[in-house]
Amino acid sequence: MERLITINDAVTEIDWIFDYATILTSCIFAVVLAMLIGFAIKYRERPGHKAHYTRGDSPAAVRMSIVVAMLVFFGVDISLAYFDHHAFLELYGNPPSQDEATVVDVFAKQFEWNFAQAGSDGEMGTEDDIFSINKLTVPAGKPVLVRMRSLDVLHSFFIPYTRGKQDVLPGMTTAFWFDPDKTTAAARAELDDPNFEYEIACAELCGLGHTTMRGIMTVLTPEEFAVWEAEESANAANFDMPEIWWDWSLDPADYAEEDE
Amino acid sequence: MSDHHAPQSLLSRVFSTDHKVIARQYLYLGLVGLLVAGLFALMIRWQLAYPGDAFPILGNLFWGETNGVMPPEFYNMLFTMHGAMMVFFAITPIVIGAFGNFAIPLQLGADDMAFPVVNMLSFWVMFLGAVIMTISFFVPGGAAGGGWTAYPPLSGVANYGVGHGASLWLLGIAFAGTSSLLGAVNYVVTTLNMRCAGMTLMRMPLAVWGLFCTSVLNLLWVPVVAAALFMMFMDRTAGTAFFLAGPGSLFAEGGALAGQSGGQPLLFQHLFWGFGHPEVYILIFPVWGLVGDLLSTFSRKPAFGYKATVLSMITILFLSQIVWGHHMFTSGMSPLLGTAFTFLTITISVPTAIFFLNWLCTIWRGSLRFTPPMLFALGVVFVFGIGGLTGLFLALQALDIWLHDTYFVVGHFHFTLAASVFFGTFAGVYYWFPKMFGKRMNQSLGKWHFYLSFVSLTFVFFMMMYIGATGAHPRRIADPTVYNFLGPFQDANVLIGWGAQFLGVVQLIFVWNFFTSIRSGEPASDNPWEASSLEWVAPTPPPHGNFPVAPTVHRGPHEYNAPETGERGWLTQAEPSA
Amino acid sequence: MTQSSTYPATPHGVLNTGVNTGKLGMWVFLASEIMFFTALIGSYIVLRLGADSWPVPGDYLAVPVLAVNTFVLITSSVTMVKAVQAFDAGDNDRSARLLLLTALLGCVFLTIKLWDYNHMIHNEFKINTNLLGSIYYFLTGFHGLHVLGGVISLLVIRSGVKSGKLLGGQHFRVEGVGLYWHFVDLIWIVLFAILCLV
Repeated sequence: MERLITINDAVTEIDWIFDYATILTSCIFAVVLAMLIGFAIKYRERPGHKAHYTRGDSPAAVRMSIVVAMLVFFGVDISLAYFDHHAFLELYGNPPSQDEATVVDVFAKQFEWNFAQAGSDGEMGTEDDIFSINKLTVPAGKPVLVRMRSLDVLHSFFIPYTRGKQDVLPGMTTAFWFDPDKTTAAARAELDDPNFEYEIACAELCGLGHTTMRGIMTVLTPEEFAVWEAEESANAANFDMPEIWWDWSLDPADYAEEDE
Repeated sequence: MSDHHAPQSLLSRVFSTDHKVIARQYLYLGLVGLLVAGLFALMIRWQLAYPGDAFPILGNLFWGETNGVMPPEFYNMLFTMHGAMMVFFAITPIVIGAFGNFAIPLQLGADDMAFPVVNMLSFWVMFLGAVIMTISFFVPGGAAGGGWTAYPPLSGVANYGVGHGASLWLLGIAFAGTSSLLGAVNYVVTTLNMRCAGMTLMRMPLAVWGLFCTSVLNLLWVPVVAAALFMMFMDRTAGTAFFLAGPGSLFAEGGALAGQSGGQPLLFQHLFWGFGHPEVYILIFPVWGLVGDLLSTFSRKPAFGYKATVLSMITILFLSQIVWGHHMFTSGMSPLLGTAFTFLTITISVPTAIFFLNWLCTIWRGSLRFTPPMLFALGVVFVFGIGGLTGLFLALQALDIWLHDTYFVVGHFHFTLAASVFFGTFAGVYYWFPKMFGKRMNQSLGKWHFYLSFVSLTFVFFMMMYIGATGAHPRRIADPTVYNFLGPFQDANVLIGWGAQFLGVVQLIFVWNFFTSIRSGEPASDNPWEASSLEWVAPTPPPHGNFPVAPTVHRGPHEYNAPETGERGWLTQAEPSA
Repeated sequence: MTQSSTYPATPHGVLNTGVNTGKLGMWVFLASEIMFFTALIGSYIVLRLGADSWPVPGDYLAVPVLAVNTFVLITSSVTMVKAVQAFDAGDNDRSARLLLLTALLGCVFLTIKLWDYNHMIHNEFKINTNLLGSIYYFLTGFHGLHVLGGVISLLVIRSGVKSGKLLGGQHFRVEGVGLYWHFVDLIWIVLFAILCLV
């Protein structure tokens, strides 16, 4: 079975680490398994065969233990941690600034994703803000910065094609970002599947409708996006923004400045 | 020690203070828990294999209005209660309650636990907890449905759809925790203070070491989760806001939760996993110890590197307490902390590697007897190998942000917690059954039980990891067909479903073997396995007070084929050298 | 019945650590109690540090009354020490009197505590008023339950001491209750300091 496609090339690093870890651990497991099966056959109880008395506390045994420990620590642990940390810094080390990114505010509630975007004027909190439920539209080619708040319970914003997810909590703002390089159309062409959509899942149990808390993300080319944005902004006033969304301010601590 | 024959009324047998009776009570409770929670698992897998179809039997009985389709709230209750009951009312009573009670005094040459009355209380407190959990199914709104992790705010207030069953759930778990705590005081003091003459700490069987480490962790961390559970209970019942934050409409003026704000949902996760990560070692330590003993006994040679094994266990005991953050990489915790937790977590692989090395070297150049307990012990080495190695994936921060909350995690922890502990459970039952009941279990049925369980269990959990890693199959969703990207994996869900049903049916072999052996099994000799630890020195089954003559220990727990053992090749710990 | 089924025996005279089994059990139990209160107090610290604002404790809590209560409990620790000393010296009557006095002081503490709760609830300061209220009632409530448990143990042990059933050889039972009582006392001092003074 094929792995899910990625939304850009950078996140394939996660797949690469997964494969690296798989190969590394498979080798270790193969050795363990070979010994387990080999010893089980070779040293089975039978007439004329006697167990060899050894307690394994000789200096040689201690040296062997130390060598194995070192191999595991430096060969496995450190190498895995090194590559992983590298990927972590690359993907999550530098949040994009709000000026260069497409900023999306997410208000998660049981059981829907509410998205808010600034619209044509680029200012959040104005007349032409674009709101939508379970449908996110972003342009390709520049990073998307998602700032998330929950109105009730925990949710987790999960786009499998970005190989990442982030929990959404009441009482604090969390952020998630990714570079959508591949438009939905391009992904459809690549997969040869005209019905393909980027799907957004809720990965943290949020109640009885958890299963159906599904969103669709459409990635357009910048030109298509500009057209879409202008259209939606023109119709924006029709949308009744729930008061409660603005009852509390963004946590100014990390990624986002206040939008007033 | 001779006057251990007080008159036995029914009451004194039910509320017995004899550690062996309490061990059997724990065993029965745990097996019932295993059965119930196992049935839940089969229902979960059936639902995921055939979502949207009418559910067999139950559908007609309960869900007429949906044409027999399982409603999502029931699905949530299923996996919540499956997890909670498996951990607190199946594994804990069997591996810690039954094995701990049976093995510790016998293997240490003591006549009973340090505090027999506390010991009895500990069982009955757990029994009460189990009763409360059972009742929780029948209250309005049904049982808890917020996952066994019970994250607030979903589980923290009734208004989000998790009914009053969750309040009872909190009480039930608190009772189970109190029971573990009372048990742990007993185990620690018994191990430290009640060893017979000559039984130094370094002559204790590894199973006792495992149970001792388990008890230390229980002592330190059960109170922490108890505090968190009580706080959540207050949130649900008294209107406090320890774990409630945020201004949803429910919190606004006139809302149901007006005024309940200002707390921190993340605090619960820290407290829960502060206990939760040690908890997985709480459950696995006794199995590790037991596997070390069994591999040695049935290879007819000493456990390789006994001291290194003990040292590794103690190292993990310390490390396990400072790695809880790897459950929270996506929770909104600081990324810097995440890096530290990654590093600490993967360090655990070093002592674990020593464990594997010692296990493999134990069977190396041995003379292996493939009895059912030995097969299950070898099975633990296999499944824990997979479980442990996949743990490395999840310790890595960036990779975990991808794999978190997918079926890869489910597969991983089922290899470690379900498969390993499950095999350890059966290894222990097959091993100690002759001493517990004075009868032998059918050995060939035991072997069939192992082979069939091994194949189906490995298949089921491996497939879970596969759909999680390849298809990003999220956990805890009632209907995988909702997502297009899971379309290609629905066949795998069907296969897992049938594999799980097969695994369930295979367990009937064990049930049959267990009960027919109790009734009409072949009588067991005092030491059917030719093992050297002290429980095999006691008469079968051991009388109240265990040893007619106080044993004196002369050697380590597994000196098989040592020069001093002569032609026979083994001596019990209590026999002086010739 | 042997001693094993009535009270922890030292089987075959073995007592590996040299510490009495009952006393060891009490220490082990207290270790876990410390973790319980650490979790509670830690949660308090985290919640308080994370809060936007924190009420001035003096505005809500009757600090002078609680200070008096602190004094009562410290005094009871002194009488407890004297009781153990008297028991060691073989003076069971004096020990029983002192144990009773300790239990009475515990009762005084609880009475003042209940009056304090009643008074505060009357003033509309309840467990769900704000986080301070939640934490105050929750922490002191659990402590109060521990005091209640201590008072009951004191009365039980006192009857044993008074009737002469407990002899010098069972020293650890009086000492064990003493350990527990000092622990409860210590926890209160910490709670008083962090709830009322900081």
